[in-house]
Amino acid sequence: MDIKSVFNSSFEQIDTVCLAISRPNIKREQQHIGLLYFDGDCVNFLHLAWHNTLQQEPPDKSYLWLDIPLDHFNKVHLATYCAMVYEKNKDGIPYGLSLDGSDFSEDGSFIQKEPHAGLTCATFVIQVFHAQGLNIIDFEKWPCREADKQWQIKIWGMLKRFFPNEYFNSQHEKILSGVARFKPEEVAVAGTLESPPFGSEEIKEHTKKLLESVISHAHKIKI
Amino acid sequence: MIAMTDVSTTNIEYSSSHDSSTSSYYEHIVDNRFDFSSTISSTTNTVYVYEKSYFYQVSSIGIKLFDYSDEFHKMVDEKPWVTRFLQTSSQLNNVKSLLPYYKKINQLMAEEDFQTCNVFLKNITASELSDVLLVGLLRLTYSRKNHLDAWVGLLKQSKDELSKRGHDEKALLNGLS
Repeated sequence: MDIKSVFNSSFEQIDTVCLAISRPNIKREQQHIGLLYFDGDCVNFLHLAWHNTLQQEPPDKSYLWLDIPLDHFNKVHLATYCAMVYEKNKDGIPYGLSLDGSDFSEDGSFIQKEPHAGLTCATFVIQVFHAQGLNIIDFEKWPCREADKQWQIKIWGMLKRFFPNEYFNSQHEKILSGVARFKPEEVAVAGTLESPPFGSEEIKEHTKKLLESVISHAHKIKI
Repeated sequence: MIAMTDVSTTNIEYSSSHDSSTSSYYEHIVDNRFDFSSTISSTTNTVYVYEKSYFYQVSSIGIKLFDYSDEFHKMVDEKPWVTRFLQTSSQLNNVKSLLPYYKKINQLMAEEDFQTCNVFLKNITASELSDVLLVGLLRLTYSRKNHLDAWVGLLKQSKDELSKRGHDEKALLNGLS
């Protein structure tokens, strides 16, 4: 994995589209992920920041970025699709702990195939790739892990003041029934290693290394 | 070999337009010296788009249309972006130039106008598409390929064309089948 940062490269040097990851707050064990793409004029950071908050903005130095192992033609296509996804979802995409029932329509609009479906920052990235036949995750090889359930319950507790009761309760039901979690660092690795799609075990070592780099970078720039 | 059915020169309109945004003049000239009911191997089934550049240097791009059906000409009449697409498809290689057409094509699918989308996919010629479009059109329409009879034909055409251009078509079209 070739990890780039403002210390060894610049955003202007990205090849059309890539993945960007950071630890937004050094005190929290939580990463954030999105897509960096060049639209012909400038480099944009497209990411699902929070519930109904899809953002596109210039990237900041807190991010590390990793090239996607795609040829130039597919990269240009993916970058164009990113531009379309942003245009179609400026009002935001709902936050959801489960990937189930979430999808993008052909015109890049987010669609809920079941009530209260939504995405995290990481599943947003997964769905952008998968919507274009570029599968990076092997869902069959991605179990529901006990440690993930604890994280999901913690996040669920934070959702109460943002979500209507019905939405809040449906998220709880999902967690209890067992929902796979896709960590930002796992998605970053799955999207940047050759020969996807990947199961969680297959990318374990690379994920660990990337996480170390993300934490180290966060300390370096003193977030 | 694709047989041309129910085709006559009356289906084809001589048209011209002036595109002020590019300061170019385009005219469609249809070679009608031969029998249009023949197969696509005939050189008669050709629409030429002549482009006079800003500096009045003339260049030409031959666009082969394998289906002169009424429905295609109706589409060209009703959707001016199709003509612009045919005129520029070999040069659409970046986000800015692709985005307007991606939106139009996706709009057809979002509105579930699969018939029109199918006519469009059936009438484009892989050899006239940019490298990005050879990959992009298939990916863009992939999720609705079951509604688009022309999708498989375009996949085959794109594979052949990518290979002809010296690209690894298997790697480029990975995930599309």
